[in-house]
Formats: sequence, C-alpha cells, structure tokens
Amino acid sequence: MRSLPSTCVRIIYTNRFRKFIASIFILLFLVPFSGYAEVSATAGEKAFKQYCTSCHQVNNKLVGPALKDMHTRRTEEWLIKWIRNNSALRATGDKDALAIYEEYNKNEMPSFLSFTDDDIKSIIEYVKVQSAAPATQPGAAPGTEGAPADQPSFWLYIVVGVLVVITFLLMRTNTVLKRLAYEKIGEELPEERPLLSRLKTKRAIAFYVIAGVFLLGFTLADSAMRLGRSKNYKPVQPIAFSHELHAGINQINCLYCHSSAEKSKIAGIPPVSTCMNCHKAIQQGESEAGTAEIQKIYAAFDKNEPIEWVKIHNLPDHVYFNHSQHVAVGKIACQTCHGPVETMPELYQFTSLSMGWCINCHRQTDVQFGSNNYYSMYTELHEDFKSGKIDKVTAEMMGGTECQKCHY
Amino acid sequence: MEQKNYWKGLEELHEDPGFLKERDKEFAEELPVEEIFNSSVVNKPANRRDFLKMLGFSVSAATLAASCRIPVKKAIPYVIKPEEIIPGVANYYASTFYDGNDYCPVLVKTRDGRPIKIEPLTSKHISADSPNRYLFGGTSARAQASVLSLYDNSRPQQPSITGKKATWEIADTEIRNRLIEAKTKGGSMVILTPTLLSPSTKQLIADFIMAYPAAKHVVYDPISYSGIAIANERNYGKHVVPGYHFENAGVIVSINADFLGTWISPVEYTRQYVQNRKVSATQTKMSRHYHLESRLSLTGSNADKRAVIKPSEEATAVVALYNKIAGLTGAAALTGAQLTGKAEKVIAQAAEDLVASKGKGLVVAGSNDPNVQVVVNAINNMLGSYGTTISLGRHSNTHQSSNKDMQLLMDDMNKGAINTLIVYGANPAYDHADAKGFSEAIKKVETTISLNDRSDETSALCRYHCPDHHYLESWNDASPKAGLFTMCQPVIWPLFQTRQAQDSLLRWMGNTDDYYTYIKNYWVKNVYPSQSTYSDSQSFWDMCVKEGAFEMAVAEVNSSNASIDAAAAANASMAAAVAAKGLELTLYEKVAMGNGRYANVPWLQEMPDPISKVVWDNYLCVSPKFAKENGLVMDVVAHTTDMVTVTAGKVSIDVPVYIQPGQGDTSVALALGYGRNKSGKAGDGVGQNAYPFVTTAGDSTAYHISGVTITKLNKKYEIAMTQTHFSFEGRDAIQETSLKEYQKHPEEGIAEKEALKHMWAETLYPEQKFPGAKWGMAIDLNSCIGCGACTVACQAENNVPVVGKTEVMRVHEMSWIRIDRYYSFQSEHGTIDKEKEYDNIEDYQDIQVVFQPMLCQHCDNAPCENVCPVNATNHSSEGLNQMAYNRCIGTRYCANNCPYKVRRFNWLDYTTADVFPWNEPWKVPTLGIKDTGMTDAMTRMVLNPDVTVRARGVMEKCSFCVQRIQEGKLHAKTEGRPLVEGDVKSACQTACPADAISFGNLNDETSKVRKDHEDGRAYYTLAELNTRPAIAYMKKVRNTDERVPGDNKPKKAAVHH
Repeated sequence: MRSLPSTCVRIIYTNRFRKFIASIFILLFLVPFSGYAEVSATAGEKAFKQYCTSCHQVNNKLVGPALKDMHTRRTEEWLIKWIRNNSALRATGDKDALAIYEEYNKNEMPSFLSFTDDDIKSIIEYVKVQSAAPATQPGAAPGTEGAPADQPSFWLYIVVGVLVVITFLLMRTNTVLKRLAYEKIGEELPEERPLLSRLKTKRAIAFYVIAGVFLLGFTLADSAMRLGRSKNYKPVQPIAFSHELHAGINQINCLYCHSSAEKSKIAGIPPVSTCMNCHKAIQQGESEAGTAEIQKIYAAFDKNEPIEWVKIHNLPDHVYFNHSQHVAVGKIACQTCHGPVETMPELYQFTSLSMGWCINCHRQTDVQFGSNNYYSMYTELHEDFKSGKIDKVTAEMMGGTECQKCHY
Repeated sequence: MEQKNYWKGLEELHEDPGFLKERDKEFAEELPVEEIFNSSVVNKPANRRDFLKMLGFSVSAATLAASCRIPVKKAIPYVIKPEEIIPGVANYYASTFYDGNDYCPVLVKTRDGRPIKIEPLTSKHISADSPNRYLFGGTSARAQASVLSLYDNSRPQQPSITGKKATWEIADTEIRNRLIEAKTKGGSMVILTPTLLSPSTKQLIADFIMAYPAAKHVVYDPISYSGIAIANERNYGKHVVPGYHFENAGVIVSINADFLGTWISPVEYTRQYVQNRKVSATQTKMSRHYHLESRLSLTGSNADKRAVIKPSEEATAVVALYNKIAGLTGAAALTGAQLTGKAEKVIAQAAEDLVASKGKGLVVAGSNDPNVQVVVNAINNMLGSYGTTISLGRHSNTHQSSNKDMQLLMDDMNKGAINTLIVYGANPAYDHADAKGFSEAIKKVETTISLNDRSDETSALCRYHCPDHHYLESWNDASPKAGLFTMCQPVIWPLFQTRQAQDSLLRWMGNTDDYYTYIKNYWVKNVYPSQSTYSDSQSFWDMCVKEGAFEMAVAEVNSSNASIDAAAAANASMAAAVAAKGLELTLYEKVAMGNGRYANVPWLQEMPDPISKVVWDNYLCVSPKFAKENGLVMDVVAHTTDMVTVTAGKVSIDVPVYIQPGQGDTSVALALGYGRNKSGKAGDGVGQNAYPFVTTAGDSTAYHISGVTITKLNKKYEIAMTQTHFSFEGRDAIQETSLKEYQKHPEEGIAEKEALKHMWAETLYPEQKFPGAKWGMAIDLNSCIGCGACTVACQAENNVPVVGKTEVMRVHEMSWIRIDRYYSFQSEHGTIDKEKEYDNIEDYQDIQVVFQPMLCQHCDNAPCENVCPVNATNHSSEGLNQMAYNRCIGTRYCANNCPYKVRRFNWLDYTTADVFPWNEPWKVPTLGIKDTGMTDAMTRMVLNPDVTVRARGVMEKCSFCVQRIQEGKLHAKTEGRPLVEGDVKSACQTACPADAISFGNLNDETSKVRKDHEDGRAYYTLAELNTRPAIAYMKKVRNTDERVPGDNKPKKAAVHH
C-alpha cells in the first residue's frame, strides 16, 4: 500500500468503498443468471444493443416482434437456429418460422452467422432478465425523476425541531436558576427591560442594518449570478420528440443521432435524413398523436425544409466548448452534463451550465492520463503519480481552469 | 561602443518636440477628466431628491434588464447532411487565386460551407526538388484578403441590361440574338481579357472564335511587362516572361525591379530569395543583393547595397553594368552615359561580384523598355545565368499583354469597326493610360458585354453586365508556368445570382455543356496523357482536384543560339534616357493595393504600407531634401500634410505629399491603384488616380515620366499613418550585424543569452512552471521582408476589426501584429549618428531599413499582468499571456504598462456597429467619416466562428492563435499521441512567404522554435526589462563589406555579467 496524505485517504477510502459496494451488488444481481462463464446477461446486453435494438424491443413491437418471454414461447434450440440463420430455418419448412415471416409482411430478419451458440444464449439470457424486470412506464413527469430533490430531508426538520425544544427548555431552566440564585443571596431580581425597548437599542439597530445589507447583498449577488442561467429550461419543440422513447426504451445510442459529438465542438442535431433511417419503416406511433408527430418528419423531408428545433443548451458567445474534447478524449458520459436524458420524455436543461459548475468538474474529474499518450509530456505529473504523491490527475493540474482554455 | 541609431521617421530622428510630447503618452487623446470634474453636473451638491432619483432609475433599469426574456435560439440541422461536412469542423480545399495579375495556389478553409481563411497550398503532386516548389507554400496580403472580397455587398447580384436588373433568360436571349446577327452581318467581335492562365479558358475562347470566326482575343494587363517578353522574342524567339530562380543566385542585381513587393511573381521570388538569406552556424554563406532604384521600394529596403538613380537612368545603369562586366571579361563595351556617385560605385562592385560568381548571378530590371531588357539579356547571357538563375523553358505564363493590340483595338473601336466587345476581367475604363479615350471609344461599339465580377468602371459602360462568380465560387484551372497546372474549385454555393463567365460564353456559343465538364474534358484530353502515375482518367482528375496541382517535365530552351544586338539596343535605350529632363515621376504599385482591383477590400486599405506606413491613401513621395527646398511640410503627429498639384504633360492632379527618406532627390513617386469611383463603398474616393500619367508609345508602356512640375497648394490634407503610433520611446529593439562579423562569431549571441538568464533570475516573483507545452515564437529579421501578409492573415484569423481612416488618425487601429519599420544611416564613412551631421540632408537617400514584426511577446514576467485590477490578463501554464475579454473592465492599465505597445483597446464597436444605427458615424453626413465597409451581415460571414468578436470597452491583443493551439492539442489527444512539430501553426506563420516565423513548443528540445531560440543570432527585444519574452528575434545580417558599427548588445546584461 502506498503512503498517502491523510486528507486523501478518506476520499479514496470512500471512493473505494463505494466501488466495492457497487461491485457486490452487481455480483449479487448477476450470479443467479450466469450459469457458466461464457454465457452472461452482460455479454448478451452488449450484443443485444449492438445488433437487435434497431428492430426489436423487449416490451414493444417494433420492426420485429416484442421479445418479452420469448424463452417461454420457444425452445432455446429453435431460437439459436432462428437467430443464426432464419432463412435456413424457413427453408426447412419450420411452421413457426414461416408464420412469423408472414406476420411481419415478409420483412426478412438478417442472419447472424458469426454468432456462436454462447453468444445467442447470452442474448436469450439477457432477454430473460429483462422480461423479469418491470417495464418502464413512459410519460413520467420530468421534474420528479430528472431533477434531484433539492429539499432538505424530513430528518433535518425533526432535528431542527428537537433543537428548538431543547433551546426553549434550557432558557426556561436558565431563568429559574437565575431567580433561585438571586433569592439565595437575597437580592431583588433586576427589572427585566420590556422586549420592545430591547429591540430598539442602538446595538439592535446596528444589527438589523448589517443583517439587512448582508441579506440584500447576498440576494442581489445570487440573483445576478442566476441571470441568463436557464437550468430546467424546457421549451416546446416543433416535434414532440421523446428522448425517453428513443434513448431510453429503444436504447438508441446517443451518438447514432448526435454523431459529431465525437468529432466536433458541436454535438449536432441529426438531419432529417437520419430520422428517416428508422422512420422509413416506423410510420405509426403508439397513439394517433404520436403518428401525427412522425408525419411532421415526412413533411419536412418532402418539402426539403429543415426542422427548426429550439436550442436548449446555450452557452454565451465568449465561451468555447468542444464536445469531442469531452466525449472522445475525456470519455465523459453524455449524462454527466445532460442528465438522465434517457428518462426525459421532454428534454430539459439538467445542469446550470454555469462557470462554477464547469470549473468544479475540471477540478474533480480524472483525465485519461495513463491511457492517452498525449499526456506523456507531463513528466512531472507522471512521476508524482508513480511515486504516489498524487492519486489522480485532474484537468486543473494541467491548466484546465485557466481563462484561455475556454475563453478566446 | 558606438550605438547605431534606429528611427521610424524624421520626427523621431530630429527629436521633434511635438512628437516627443505625443510619444510619451500611451493614448493619443486625453480623457476629459478635468472637464468632467469642473463641470456643473459634478460640482452641484447632491441632495436627497437626486439620490432617490438615481436610486429609482437604477433599480428600475436593473429590474427591466433582468426581466428581459432570454431570446429563444434555434438549432437548425440539415435536411440531408452532405457527407463531407461535420458541423463545427473545418474543411480545406485546394484552389488557385488568380485575378489577371497575382497568382497564388491556395488552400481554402471553410467552416460549415463558408470560406473563412486562405492558407498556402502545399501539394503532394509537387516534388520536393521541383523547380516550381517556390510557387507553393506562401501567400501574399492580397491572397489572404481575397476571401473578404467574396463577401462584398457591392458585387453585382444579378445580370443587368443598360444598368437595369434583368434575368439570365432575357440577357441570354438578347445577347445570343445579337451575336448571331453580328455573325451573319460579318461584324467583328473582340474578347478583351487580362492575361489568362487557364488553359481550358483559352481553349474555350478558341472554340468561341471557331463559332464566331469574326471574333478576336485581345489581352490587356493594367500593368504591362511587355518589354521583357519582346526582348526575349528578339533574342531567343520566345515571346515570354522567363522563369527567374533567385534561389540559385549568389549575387542579385536589381535595377528598379521590386521583385519582393510587386514585380511579376513576388511571393515566389520571396520564397526563392530567402533560401540564401537564412544564415546559421552551419550555413554561414548568404547571397548579396545590389539594388538601384529611384524610390524606396520593399525590395530596395531589403538590399545589402542600395543606391538611388533617376527613373530615366535605368538604361544608363544597365549599360554601365554591361560595360563594367565587359571590361572585366574582355568583351567590347557599349556606348552610353556614365553614372556618378554612389550608384557608380555600387555598379562597379556588383560587376566584380557578378563576374566572380559566374553562373550564379542574376540581373533583373524593372524597365518596360524592350531595348533595356535586351541589354539585361546580354548581361545575363555573358554571365551564364541561363539554365541556372533564368529558365526560358519553364517560363512564366503571366503578363502576356501587348500594348500594340490594345492600341489597335481602341483605334478600331473609334472607327466603329468593332461590332461586339466582350470584356472579361479587364477594367480599362479605369486602369488604362487613356481611360478616357477608352470610355469614349466603347460608346461606338454596338454590343458591349461585361463579364466582370464587379460593377466596375468598365461594366458601367457596357450594355450587358453578366457578372462572373467570385473565384471561390468557380471552377477553373491555371497554368502559371510552362508544365505546371493548378486547379480552382468552388468552395461555396454562389452567394448571388451570378454565373461563371465561361458558362456564359458556352451558353452564347450554343454549347449546352457546363464549364466543369468542359474543364474536365480538357484535362483528360491534354494533361492526363502526359503522366503515368494514374491509370484511369477519373482518379487522375480526382487527385488533381484534391492536390490542387500537377506538373510535367519541360525541356529547357537552348539559350546558346541567342541573337543579341546589345549595341543597337543600348543606343536606342539611351536615347530615351537622354531625352528625360527636369523632375521625374515614378508610378508604382503599392504592396497591398496593387493595380487597384482590390480597392474595395478594407483589410488591404487598412494594411499600413510596408514603407510609408500610410493607410487608406496614395500620396506623392518626396525626399526630405526636395521637401525642404520646396517648402513642403508633413506633420506626422497631427496627421496633416501639404497638398500639391502634380503636372506632367496635359495631366495634372492634386495629391498630398509624403516625405519619404530613401526617395531620390531628383524624382518623386506616386502609387497607382487609387482614385476608384466604381469599386464599392469602402474603395470609392480613396486617393487619386495616377493612371493618366502612364505613357504609351508603340510597344512600350512607361511607368515613369519626366518634365514634371510640382506646385504647392495652400491646403492641408489629413493623412493617416501609423508610423508614430506605439513608439518604443527610443529603446533599442533591433540588433544587426554584418556577414563578415557574424561569420567570425556565429555563437556570440549564445553567451549573451546566458548572461541575460543570470540577470533574469533576480525577481520577486516565484518561479513559474510550464509542465506540458510552453509556446514560443522566433522571428528571423533576416528573412522577414516586411510584406505584411502576416498582418492580413492575423486580421482574418482573429476577427480583428477594420476601424477606418478617421479612427487610425486617433491611434485606434486594432492590428494585433504590426510591422515596425526602422531606418538607419549607412554612408561611406560608416554610421552617421545625430551628433554628427544628419542635417546633411542628402544622406536621406542612402538609408538602410530593417523590419520587425511586433506582436504580444507573451512575457513570462509580463508587466501588463501585474497591473490588471480584475486579473483579466494573466499567465497560463503553457506560457500564454491570456486575455479574458469577458472579465476585462477596460481600465487600460495593461496597455499603459506594456513596453512593446501591442495591446489594443476597443474604443468603439467596430464589427457589429450596425446593431445600433447611431453607432455608425458614417451615417452622420456632417462628420464626413467614410464607411469602413465592414459592418454588415454579409461581410460578417467572414468571421472566424472559433474566435470571440470583442465588444466595445475591452482590451485585446495577440493570443498566439490560442484557438489553433487548442485545436492542435485536441487533434493530438484524439489520436492519443504526443504533440509533434507542425500540430500548431500560427496564422502569421503559415501566411509568411519567407518562412521567417517559427512557432511551437519550447519545452520540446527537437522543435524548430527551440533551436531558433538557442541560435547564436537569437535575441530578446527589451530583454533588459526582465520581461522574459516568449518571442526571440534573430539578428539581421547584412552582406556588406564593412562591419556595421553598433552591433548593439543588451547593455544591462553585459554590465551585470
């Protein structure tokens, strides 16, 4: 074990402790489902998201059928054959296979000849796990789930209440003790000045003024800082697009639509043509209103008119922010800044996007120091890291909080 | 040690009291502090009522401001995204900048479909040892500024017929009908163009002539070089401007040829020229450059030995040089007059040097007299320059115009013999010597069609104006030299309803092909067969478009069979020299403005002239002696000067005078390219048109005239010059040495720097660490020729605003990089300092010049950082002196404390002035202020989206192109590799045609900039102030025989050591 400065130990301990707890949970979750090493629901999840989600969902019918409880409907052997090469299975005259083919308008499912049995079993395993999990309810209110609760907890009120009671009791005790003490030495208790006159003393007035100035000053500074901030900004968009449906339920990778986030300063709003990749096939919504929204895409495409989305995440002109720096280089998850987008039926601004918020992250977050060769020029930091003088390297240590990293 | 005295202008040299008073002030205008404090408003005792009023106003204003809704912003994606575009990522396309005069292969940076910056092109198709390689890799100020001319609102936005807007259909139908009618009638047609470099366009015009056999192609250039071509035709049977190779020349003699500034192909020649000027401990040899001229040109100011002659003495000088060389080699002498004084001595020295390095000499002359050029050919032939420094095989294709053809055309037009005139790219109604005559003659032509991309003077006279695209919207090709081809491709969808001129011609020929198909077919048919690298024509074409260039082998012309009758030519040329009498006038092109085509480009108008430092004007250059004799006064501090009338022959115009050291005493000089009246809102009415002074006789166009009279007017003129702005207050900024001295101690500077570091160690501040990269720059004063390409590149890259003439006079110019031009004396006896007789005014002819690009030095011990009350400027861990605009409150303390004077304050809102109409002073007629032409939405399309547009009231300065640094770093990070040389290049560095600037990571021991910093020539400017600059300058080395006294070392460092 390396020797660390005492201040760090606690933080590291908590971090490590958290990781430890998390891994125990993950293990507990996985063990019952992983019969043997090669087949696992996690491997299945990866393959499922990579290969299946463009046509299938667990709970809903998409291009292909909903897969919920497929392991109960079909045998594993049949599923392996179907998934690997469904046309071969149909060629054998398998009735079930032909029936599905007919049911889905002869839309052929692609073959996955490179899949091993274990790969397919993993996918089945994953669907099994998902089938057991309760389905996510669409349409949950954004504020409740999205924004973290800012209110002090119930316990805080209890504690404050108890403290107030104790204070009152102590004051009473004090008065009684005082009276008793005076009685003991046989003196008159000095006359209490009335409360009103006590509140009018010079000292009290000075206190009011100072408190007033402080309070007003704080309010002014605080609200001035809030000027131009738009946390929780949730404008009405030209199309009632749901990130919950696309990124959450259908598990479409963020980068599928916001493809330039890895390459450019701008994450990019997908062109209509990207929408059409899927919506050429998916023409119906779950409701009539949904279908109407999908129709807007066709209208835009037919008229060759772009969709004018309302920009939610706005930075001032004097701020330079680059998505690729954070996504491709920093490997920061989109959710870190944009919040749990996959749970938002209507997108809103999750974080304040204030400078303090930026700086805070630059001070705390590890950079990809060891894995990216670019940082090899920071020899001193490398040595400190090796010798254990520091246990992580943040952007700040390499000048990540300097003015001209973002303002130029 | 004797200190060499450097001065920016006469006022500094003479320590003019008015100048000294102004010089010591950081800001030209005093703030009206006294006035405010003495005013009744301030002195009136404030009462409770006022206080409440103020309070009420403030609170309600604040409430109002705070309750404004944040504007809703839209994010509008493509409907179908083009595959090659990633929003926010720049694309680069190879193209060619050519406008009939300047040629430059370029790489165009586009962001989201908008071209925003021009970079030099380097092409994989051009081999590292190609003789054409010097055409690539550099740019000029004009090439840099060409992107701004795209976003010009005064460009014609659709075709017009007799000045009224029309549609293409109507114009096409009418023109086609007229052409067919002319064909049946047998009426003659003329296509008038400047020299075309495009082989496909030439083919297209040939096809047009096939379709209309009565058509003829006439080539007309505003600045003629026909003298050279005619001389070569006489001597070698080739009517061409040869290819010059300054890189092979050890001795260069130029007689009035400004080959670094404006002559034929300055960017190429600059790149060649500096190859032999970059001395180091390993390469201690350098070329020697002799220069004879009548005014102080950019080339003359870079020469090792310079002497002044009269413009009419060009022939005398050339013949004298011939005779000296003949005397040394035993050939027969020619008859000619003698030169006297310094010029004679310089010629004699040059002859000796040339003979001593036979085959490595090059003599060029700016004269446009074919007879003079024949003698020059004879000299070069004697010296064996053909094949080494001159190539007739790889000749230039530029400047092919013939004076005779144009004269013939004008005569025919006057006779009414021309039925149809199609003008493409030429503007003779402005830039012809007899523009008035042309304007009259064109009225006698039945059908006149202009294909120009501007609504210029000639287009205004044409019945039909069918505007061409800007070159950034066009397909084209160019063959600037025999065997070399470059490509021009569109980088933006046409902004207006214009159409490519070639497409118009195709349409009128009844050809339905578009020009793209035409050009591709041409290349496949004519260029593709000459190579073997690509096996199919499509991949050949694709690669040519991508790489932008293609070259093929060219056979060298045998120059031994020359027939040169030098004697006859000498006699003929001397006749003109003898005829010249009285005061003479030189007509020249300015480095920025050239022939006047770019009058409406504010960046070029506001680029200080490299020599005079004047902006937004042309003026009559007179020598100090001439000024004194004629009672002409120029007050640099007050920005006023005398007006004079210049008369020569029948022409006379009123111009302001500019007192120019280095100008010959017996001649004056005036720049062409000004006085436009149909160029656009920025260029109209700037300066005076000097083209009427150009004289034509037979084959020759002369750019000087004798028998000139100057009459002083009782009138003052306001002239904006940046010479006195941002003064060093007499501190030494320049170090120079002679070649001989440098060869003795090439490592001398290293010890000096060691001594300096010792001194620098003494500071109160803690030691700074630069853990990753530490950015630095080195500028080679020996390579820098002062052309100003870097200043325009910086302006384009960093959204540096144009402020206009009036603001420049108030010392409000915003340039982040300026080029300080210093004069010094060098006479036969050595230095003249002020204790000696600088009043001996004739010596102002013989001055030396040194250029020093000055920009933020990013000092590690920066005086500006300590004084900022809000810490808006501070130091980064990468050695950058950062400027946070949004934090700056505009106290201007930093600018006050900066010894390099490189900080610029936004006194007004220069870029977005039109947001509030009352913000644009030119909209108030009584003020008489000229529109800068930069404040409209169209022009703002040129802004770099990665750089903040600064608001009024904040300070700004060079950022070392921090946006490029960040981009380069990110590029390396994305690829997961360490930073390497070339990842980050500053805008000034890439633009420089002389490779004078190196930039990079000083922590990287292998980097060029680190090596430059450690070089024996490197020194730090004002090092004695312990500012610890991140920019090293590399000493100027002059290849003069004598030692330059005053090789000034940092005095304090030496003392300390």
